Amino acid sequence: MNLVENDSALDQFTSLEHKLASVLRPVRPDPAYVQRLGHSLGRAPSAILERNSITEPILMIVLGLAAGVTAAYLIHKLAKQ
Amino acid sequence: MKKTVPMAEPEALNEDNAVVRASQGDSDAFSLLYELNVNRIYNYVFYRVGSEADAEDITSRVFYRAFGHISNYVEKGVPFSAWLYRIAHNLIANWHRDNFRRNEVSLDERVDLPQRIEPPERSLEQTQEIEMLLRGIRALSDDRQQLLVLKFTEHLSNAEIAMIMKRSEGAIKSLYHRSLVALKEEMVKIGFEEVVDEGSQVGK
Repeated sequence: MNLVENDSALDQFTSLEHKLASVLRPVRPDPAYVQRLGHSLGRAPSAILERNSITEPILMIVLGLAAGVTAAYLIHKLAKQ
Repeated sequence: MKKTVPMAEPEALNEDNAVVRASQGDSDAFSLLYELNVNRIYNYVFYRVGSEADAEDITSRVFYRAFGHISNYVEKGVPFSAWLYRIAHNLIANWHRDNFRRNEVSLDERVDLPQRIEPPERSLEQTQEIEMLLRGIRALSDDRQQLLVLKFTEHLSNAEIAMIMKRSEGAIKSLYHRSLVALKEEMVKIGFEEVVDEGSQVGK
């Protein structure tokens, strides 16, 4: 990897780059984990159901509004009688 | 008279055709893509979240999500790994958001050192230096962390990072420079100036 591939202005950061290169070394996952995940992916159904986090709150709001409007309408109608 | 047309041999599965075949429902092709990319995605996630358990959890989600959406994948001349990195990036952003809501403890206070790569006889001073640097990196903005991790752990070029981050190569160069400046400032702020001053010409 060419650490300073950008321009000469980056020369001043050579020391910091070298520190980064020595600290940020590749980490490998546990081979047992890799095998387990690969195995479970191989058995997973082709369609994965993911929970939609937006639909549920919107549905709750719509139902709440509908209930409110119905209640207001009924109260209004009863008050007229 | 009937003509016999020789059947075309099915093309052997390889890195080049795996994406197309996986998007057509070939699970062996997806397995190959998984094997080719799992280490790099885990590595990227680990440095962004700082814990092995969370890195394993998020990496699993990345591949489950990719598996669930591979049929919609459109080849645009961008490496398949770029798509996985973007999924990982989004899941990490959600993780940080959820963790911030759950915990009052700052995220930069929890840093697991990468045990699997370090020699056990690491000195206290080295350990402290590594911790401080990781803490400094984690205090940077999301895009700066992403850039540094991709550059230093995956050794990707600016052009490759630009594809993953959906920016121009020039923008990546500029972001890289700003990231180093910000990291240096962060290290000074947390009282670890020797990391940046030792042998450096900053300010000269």
